[in-house]
Amino acid sequence: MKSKTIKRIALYTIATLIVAVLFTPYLWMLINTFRGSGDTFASSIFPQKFTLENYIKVFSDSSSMRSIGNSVLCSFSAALLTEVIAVTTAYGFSRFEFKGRSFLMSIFMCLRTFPALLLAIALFVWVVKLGLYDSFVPIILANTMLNLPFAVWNSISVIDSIPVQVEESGMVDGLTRMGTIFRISLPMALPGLVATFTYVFIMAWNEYLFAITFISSTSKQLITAKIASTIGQFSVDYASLLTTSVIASVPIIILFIFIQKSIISGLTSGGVKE
Amino acid sequence: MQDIRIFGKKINAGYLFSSPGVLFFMIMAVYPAAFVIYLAFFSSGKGIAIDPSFIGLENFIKVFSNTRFWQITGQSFVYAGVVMLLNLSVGLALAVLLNQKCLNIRYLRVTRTIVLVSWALSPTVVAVMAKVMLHPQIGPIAQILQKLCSSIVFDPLGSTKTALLTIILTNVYMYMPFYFLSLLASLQAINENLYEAAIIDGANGRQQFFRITLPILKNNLLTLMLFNFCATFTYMDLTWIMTEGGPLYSTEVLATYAYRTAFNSYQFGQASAIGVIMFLVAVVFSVVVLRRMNKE
Repeated sequence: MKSKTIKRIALYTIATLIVAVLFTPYLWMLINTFRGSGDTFASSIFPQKFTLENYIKVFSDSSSMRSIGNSVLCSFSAALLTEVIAVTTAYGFSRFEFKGRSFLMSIFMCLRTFPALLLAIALFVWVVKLGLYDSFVPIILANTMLNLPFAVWNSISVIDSIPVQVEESGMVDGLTRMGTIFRISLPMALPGLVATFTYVFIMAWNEYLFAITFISSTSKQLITAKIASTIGQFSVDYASLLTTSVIASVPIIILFIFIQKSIISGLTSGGVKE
Repeated sequence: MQDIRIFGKKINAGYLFSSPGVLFFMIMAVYPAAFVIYLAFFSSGKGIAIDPSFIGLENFIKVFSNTRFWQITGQSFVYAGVVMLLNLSVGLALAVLLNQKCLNIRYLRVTRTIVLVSWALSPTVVAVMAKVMLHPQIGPIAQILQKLCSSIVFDPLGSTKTALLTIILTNVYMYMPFYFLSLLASLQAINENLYEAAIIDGANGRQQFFRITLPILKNNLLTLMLFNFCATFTYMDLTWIMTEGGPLYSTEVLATYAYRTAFNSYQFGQASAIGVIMFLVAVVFSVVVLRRMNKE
């Protein structure tokens, strides 16, 4: 009995230590967003006095706010487009048996490793030729492409979990196929689809490569590109840089914690052999 | 209700429903991939004005003749390989640890969630965090070390010896949670009776892990390895923000090299050639891994 207690204490200690180490950098960043302007980073590890100066500064900075607005617009559009395509496609895969179905599904699985870099190179050439450079169109399309495989797989597992009998009984009661989808299936699938939407939104929000490749003017800059360009400058205002990073990440982390349970099945499917 | 009539022809509705995804994937994945291969063999010179003339392997020869090409390729393998091993081993160790039945379930729930936080972060935020944390003057680690001994110079990103390792560890910090979560889900799917039977037969913890857990997870681990290697081999975000391939090309990988060639020098033909090389490496690696998988 005694050795079991020791084992438990040891496990708690190790686990707590590891988790603390993983969380420390973020926590340190969070604490240092409250550092005042006279209090330099080189003088101490933690701020001497806590102020909201940096938050006021970032929130009243129109270029930061515009970048956040641009990111919201792009991520929302990408998530919406992804979701519409994914749900339709997933419905086909989930509810119908047809030739080439499993082949197409496995293609969607492999596409998860499609390199963003190749997409950026190919898209760039077309985008410049079509006059779409420095617009949100290529960013939305590229993010949709990168997240579609996951969104399709997650939507399949969401739709699979709705029993076919529910749809059949709807059709027996005189609804058309479209009627059943809109009146019965989609409302039932809604929580899972919202989670998928949120995940794609998060991924598009966090995306960096397309954000620096397809946008050149500062008024259209996305928040990730803005943060990254700040750290490259010669004299960096670290306090507001960290504050911008926190503002750009805290809402995303909270969203992520809410949806993580619902996206596991889509993320891990294919990893486990059926 | 399986079929739908279009122009008097019966068509399985499954095709109709799945067509948007398939179409999008044709335009945004098949076509770009084909276009990059085309660029590699047909585009010479700078800019996006591509005069389509077959130039054979010229772009590849130019890439190979770069004096740093083999160094960069070697670093790409080190980067992707070490990241893959660390992501999977740390992810698995943490999954086993946070799946211990003797720990309090609420404690487990909280710690698992905290582990996932870094996965929800943008590479930009992680890179900024790492750069500031590891900064030689303002970083907290450097400050602590300075207090202990003022002669210590702590600048892991500024030294050619440690920069790549630093980026590797940052990558693991950021992406390990995904592997942790996948493996945790698989661990929880393992039938509890197997372990009970093993305990009755007198198997200790280590034997249970190597004889039951690992064999069951084998295919899952190989799939994740494949996924992680291919993803990291073509990944540039963290490297680009943290060091831009420096100092002295010590963190340059094929992905940053391709990006630099395309978007700093506008040589899309050569950049595509590097892209094709990366793609071939990924294919070879996939074949090797898939062969090791158990066929059921």
